[in-house]
Amino acid sequence: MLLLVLLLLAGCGGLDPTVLPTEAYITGTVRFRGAWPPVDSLQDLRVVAFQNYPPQDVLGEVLSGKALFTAEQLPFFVDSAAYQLRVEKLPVTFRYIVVAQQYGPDLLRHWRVVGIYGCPPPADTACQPGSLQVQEAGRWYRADIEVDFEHLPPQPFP
Amino acid sequence: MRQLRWLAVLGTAGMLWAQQPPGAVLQLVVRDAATAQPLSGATVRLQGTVLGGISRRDGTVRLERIPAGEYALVVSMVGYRVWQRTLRLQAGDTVRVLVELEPQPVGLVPIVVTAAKRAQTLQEAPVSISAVELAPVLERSYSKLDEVLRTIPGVTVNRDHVSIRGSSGFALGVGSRTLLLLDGIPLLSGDSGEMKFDALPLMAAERIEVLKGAASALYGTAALGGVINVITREPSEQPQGAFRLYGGVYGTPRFEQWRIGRRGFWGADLRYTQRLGPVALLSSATVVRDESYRLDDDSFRWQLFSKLTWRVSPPTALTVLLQHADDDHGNWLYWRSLQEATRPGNSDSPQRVRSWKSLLAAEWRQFWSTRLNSTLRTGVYRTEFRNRLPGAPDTLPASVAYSLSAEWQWGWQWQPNALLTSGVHSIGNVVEAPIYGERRQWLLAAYVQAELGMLRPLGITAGARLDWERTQGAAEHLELSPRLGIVYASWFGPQFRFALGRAFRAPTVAERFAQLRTAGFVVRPNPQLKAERGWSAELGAADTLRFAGKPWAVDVAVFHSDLFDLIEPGFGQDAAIQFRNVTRARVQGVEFNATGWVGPSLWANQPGALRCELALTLLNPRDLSANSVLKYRSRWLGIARGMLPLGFGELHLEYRYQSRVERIDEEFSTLGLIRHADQRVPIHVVELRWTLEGMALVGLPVQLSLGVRNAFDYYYTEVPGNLAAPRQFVLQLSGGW
Repeated sequence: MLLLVLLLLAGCGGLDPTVLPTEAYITGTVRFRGAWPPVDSLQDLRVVAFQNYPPQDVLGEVLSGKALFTAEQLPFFVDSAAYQLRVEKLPVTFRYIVVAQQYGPDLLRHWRVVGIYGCPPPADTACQPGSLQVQEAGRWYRADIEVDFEHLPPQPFP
Repeated sequence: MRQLRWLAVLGTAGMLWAQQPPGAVLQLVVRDAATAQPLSGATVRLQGTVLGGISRRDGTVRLERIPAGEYALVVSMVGYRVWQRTLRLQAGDTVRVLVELEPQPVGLVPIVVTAAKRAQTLQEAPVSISAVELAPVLERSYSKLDEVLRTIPGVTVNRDHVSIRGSSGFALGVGSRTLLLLDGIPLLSGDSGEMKFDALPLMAAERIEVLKGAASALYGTAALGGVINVITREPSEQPQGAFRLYGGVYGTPRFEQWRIGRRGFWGADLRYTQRLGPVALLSSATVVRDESYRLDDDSFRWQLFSKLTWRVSPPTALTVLLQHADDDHGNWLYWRSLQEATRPGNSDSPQRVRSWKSLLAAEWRQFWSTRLNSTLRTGVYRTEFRNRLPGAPDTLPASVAYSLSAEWQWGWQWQPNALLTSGVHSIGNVVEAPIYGERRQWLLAAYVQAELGMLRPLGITAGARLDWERTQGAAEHLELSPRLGIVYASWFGPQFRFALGRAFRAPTVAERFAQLRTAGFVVRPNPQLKAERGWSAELGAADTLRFAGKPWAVDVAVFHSDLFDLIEPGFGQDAAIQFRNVTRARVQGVEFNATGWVGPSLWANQPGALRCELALTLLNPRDLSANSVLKYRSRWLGIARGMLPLGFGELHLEYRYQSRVERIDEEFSTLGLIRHADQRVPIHVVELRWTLEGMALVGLPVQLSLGVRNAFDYYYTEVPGNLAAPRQFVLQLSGGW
């Protein structure tokens, strides 16, 4: 009986060349340096990819889906963390990919950028963030980001 | 001159043997205690000597020239309980013994040799061991080791890499974290530390033992994830032969894009064994042609194997192994795209790869007394591969490597329940290759292990091995690998086991010194590589339970491995590949195995209608360096197998499952090396087979088998850009005389 169930589970299928991927992925590793901030200021930590630099309307871009962010928050107090972002609307260019930290209880206001793709710390206002063109479905695009909590990059938020 | 000296020594030994008194004669008849039918293939041993044999078709075994004394006679066979008696023999005696073996329906292999470098029952071993009998496997038309390994619980194969309980990922075969042995002789290539699956003589093998977990305390380098030991058959007392002929076709893929015309495969094997006085010979030959279901992936290979056993005297035996395998195959690396998954994507696919694998090994076993024995084991394993393109200059990748191994092992039973195993072991790898340079790597080791059984029902195993490694152009280092094992046979039924051990793997010559440009990849050397290290622990329990009145052998194991400085191929900023000590990993998991019967008994000597084997492994493979899951590991592995005896044959069903690999090297995709590299799915493979016994149907010792592999034509990949084989129909005829 169990075997029969397993056999039915097996079914037909698997890979299908007629159903090609329609999405692409941004993947990378976030490497952390410097002393981590106090635990009570670590409300959340995510990678966010914006299409515009500087972002015109941070909240609007996130809510409209123009800006992508990692589904799960990055782990705290580690040396590095892998991440991935799924990109469904292609082609698209991301001009500002950052690691953002929520440091207070206000989900809309208490955010700061702690790492920028293409601007390894210490980064000043002259640094031009890296741009990533995501064009081909089924392909992965790499964007590694360095974070130094003791040398935060310029902030886009007011 | 040296050869003449050896011949003189052997000749003297032969004369000494010829001058010995005739001794006693032991005549045994082995039969099934339930049916009184004679049993062929039972292993008979006189403990403390090298005397022994395999029962013939009529169940008889004859042992001659046995010196006077007291002996433990041990008879074992798959599916039966081990039988043991003490005999006192006088010179000139002829003793007849009737051995009636009690069926043990759970089908466990009673004797294993890998856990302690000596024969012991499976229950005595403090670690998890899967022992696979080859006879049923050969019915499935398998011709390479990897095909067999995929059917073993907790084991996965990622192209050329064997992963035991998540120990390994995928690096095109380089740097195996599982040690491969043939009758105890290491069989990893000297250059890349790679398993050559086609080098193993499956037709001549009796069983495969897979030891799961760290085993460097006895075996040294490469036994980080475990050990695979292929045990060859003992030559039989009477002339015996066996053959196997099979052929098959690949089914037409459902998708037009993947069709490349009707392709098939065929193979033939022959095995012969004969004893001539004190010398016994076992030989096998194999030839396989595979047109492949993918373009530029066809292969033709053949192999010869011989095992010569010479009983120099009752306490002394010399065994010589000779093996040669030749393989010519296409240079398939990865697909062009998912739409063109049966066409190669690597630009050098028109090349052919030719490889040769040869082994010459010898084992000298000496019982100095019933308490003291020694084994001298030595071998030379030569591997060579050469890429070639007709008409092109001879500048393509090629390598010749020799791996030399010499081990002197001692076993001393200093008390009735206490055994000491110790030895010294030397491995030398000599490599000559344009892509690696001329390199020498040496490993010297000494080990000792004590097995203490005086606290029964508690059995304790403790030991350690010290390895010293030196490679030209790299720093030398020492590795200490301790080990502790405990077995406890509880009063309420289950048997518990605990094992804790450290293991390491020295970097291979290829990992340290590879420098090549091939198939769009650039590989750079890294002589600063350190050895990989790891600790593993296991807690297990085994028992025979009854479900619905049927016996079921159940085994559960919880395991944990902490791995440091794992060597992984990584892509640098310039897209060049370099092997680096980058990964700190932790693999935890649970493995469950159950074997038993269901349904009412339909045939004599079978406790049920359907024999079932179920295995489930749950893994949590963590890459602690990247805070993510380890690459190329599945979280769930499962096997369900059913065998329905029909009197004149058997129906077999097997289902194999691997959950979707969560992470691969993203660089295959980010650097645009392999199109659709990320296309992967869970693995569901179903195999059906119908076997007909010629003896029951037409009175001939032949067997006809019709099989369908991947019966549901499920399409999947095991490694990026490599579509696995679609449905295959196989017909096999085998038999013996």
